[in-house]
Amino acid sequence: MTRLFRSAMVIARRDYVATVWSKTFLIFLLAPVLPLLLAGLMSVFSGGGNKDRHRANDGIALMTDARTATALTGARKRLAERLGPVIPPLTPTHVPAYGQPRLSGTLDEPRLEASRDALDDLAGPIALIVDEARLDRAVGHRPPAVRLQTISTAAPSTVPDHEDVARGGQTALFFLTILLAGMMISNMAEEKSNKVIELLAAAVPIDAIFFGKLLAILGASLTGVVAWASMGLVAALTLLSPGSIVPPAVGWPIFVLLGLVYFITVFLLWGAIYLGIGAQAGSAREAQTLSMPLTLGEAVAFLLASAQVTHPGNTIGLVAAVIPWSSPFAMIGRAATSAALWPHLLAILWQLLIILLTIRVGSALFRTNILKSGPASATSGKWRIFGRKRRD
Amino acid sequence: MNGDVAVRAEGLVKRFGGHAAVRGIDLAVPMGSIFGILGPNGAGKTTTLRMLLGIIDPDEGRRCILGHDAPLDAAADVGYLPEERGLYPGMTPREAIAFMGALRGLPLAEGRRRASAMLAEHGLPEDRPIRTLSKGMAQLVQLLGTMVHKPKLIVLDEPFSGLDAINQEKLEALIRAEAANGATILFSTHVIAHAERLCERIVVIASGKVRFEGTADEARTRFPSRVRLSTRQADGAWRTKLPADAMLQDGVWQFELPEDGIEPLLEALIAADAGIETLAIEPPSLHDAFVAIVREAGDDPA
Repeated sequence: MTRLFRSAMVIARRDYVATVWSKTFLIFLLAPVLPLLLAGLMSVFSGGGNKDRHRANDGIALMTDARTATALTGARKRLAERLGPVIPPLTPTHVPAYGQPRLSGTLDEPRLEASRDALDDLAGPIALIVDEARLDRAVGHRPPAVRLQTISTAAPSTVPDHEDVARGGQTALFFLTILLAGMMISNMAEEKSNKVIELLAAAVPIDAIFFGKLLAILGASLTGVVAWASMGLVAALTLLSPGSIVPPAVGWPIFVLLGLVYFITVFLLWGAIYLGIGAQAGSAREAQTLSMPLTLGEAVAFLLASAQVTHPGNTIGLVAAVIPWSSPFAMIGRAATSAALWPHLLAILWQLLIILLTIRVGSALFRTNILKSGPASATSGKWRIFGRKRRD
Repeated sequence: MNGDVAVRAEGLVKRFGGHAAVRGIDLAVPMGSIFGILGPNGAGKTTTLRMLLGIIDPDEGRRCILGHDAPLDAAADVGYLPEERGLYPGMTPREAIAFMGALRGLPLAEGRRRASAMLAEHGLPEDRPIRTLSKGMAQLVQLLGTMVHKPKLIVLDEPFSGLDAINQEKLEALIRAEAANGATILFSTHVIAHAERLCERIVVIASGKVRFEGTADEARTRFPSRVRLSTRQADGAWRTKLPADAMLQDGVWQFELPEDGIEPLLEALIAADAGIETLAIEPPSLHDAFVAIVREAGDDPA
């Protein structure tokens, strides 16, 4: 066991360094930056619009005769008391600032000049002010102040908000494993084309090669996850206001921890199969073809797990949580919507058991085909999956 | 299995589909020897080596490497150069050699230290990516990686293929040096000259079976010497005295040495006034012996 682990670590270390110190990995790492960059650019552009509005809120240059100005500022004051900041301030002036909206004319024929965006925002409030001034002029009547009181309109449960977090977690897991699966399969195809595999197979157990490669890609992916999580945190702190995301039911620290655990389990569950399949491929093109059904299978598992979010108690939700290959997706969704922790312990133990079996199967597939060692090994390997196979 | 034997195989059989690539190989490689496996292309040399090293499992038979029935148990003391050379193209020679040592249990730091010394000794660069090296240089790097952990047994599958004459000479020197340090060398080749120069013992494999095991001299003495005879006149009554297998090539008669020796034939030729100019008796070369052994097995020795 020590030799197996030591050998696996030698291979994992080589593969990890080769993967992380490559241009491909840098591009892989930067992939999520593009949407963030786009969001940033959109924010800058929309920020420009806000600046325009802000200028509108600074005040509207009131350019009327004195009596009209008095009537309008009085009306504005009364409305602002009742409606608050939606009523823009009016500043009597003869010299408006550049770009500042202007209100001129009379109560009967008011004239508002502003940019298109500002006009959209100001037309309503200015109409209210003018109506209030006209009413005051006509009847001197002041409408009774309506006493305002807010009532809660939120549903007793916050499930819809939790659903967003659940779906976010599931989608992140799904896309990460899809991205990494491609990396895994191309790594295997490259290994075969380098013809290094025979060198490895002569020196270390095949299981160690398999496990080392799995560990290397897991390590590389965790490096990516840490980098992306840091970027995501910065983006969240920059773009989202506090409290705009409802925390998951288990709380953020446990959710993040469970997310990491489920990422590792889903990676090992699917990665072992991808690696076993990758060993059957003789070229990158073959590898891509072989990976397609697996990607579809993973998509089905993801969709099944989505049912856990919308129907946590029903049969589909339960099946999604029990089937090992959809279980991590389903359970991360559950962590967002339900505070109970014991199902996670059960699920993780169940997933670990299946991971051990999957690694044995993947390793047997890998061993059978990696050196084209012939059908004799293939048939006997089927039964050796469940027991230790001695290479003697 | 005997402690004086580095590698032993008993009745190794390997089938791929319906085809038996190896059909019962027995061999014993003495500890500290340079041992050659000779055979034509497709004879089963590589499959035999792969089975001996545990890369593939035999369908039948036993193998023992340095006293271990499970070949990987001896991995730390074995170095292997496969026929299909493979190195990670992005690695530097120093890292590649250290990595190959690490696979065999040598700590990376020590592997790097030894790699630097070995590369300097052979005038190879340390830190250039392998993809920028010539094929011969890359092959030498891989060979150094095979030896970096100072193995007791070095297995080389067709080590001379793809090397120019200079590098072949270097490789022969390296093999001799490792053998002088006590390592057992087992290599396969279909180029007889290398085996003739290097090997203390050889096996000839043809059609998946061992057809001969012994020294190169023993292989040669299994077959009669050749007689080369030239006369003043190419033809005459004396011709009837020549053995039935005699053939004239470039004005020289060639035939196998008769079982009763050369003297009776010489006396008969002189009596018939053959006018002998030159006479040479040449023992068969290993190449001749190899070709004869493979032909006996029904294989094409090409």
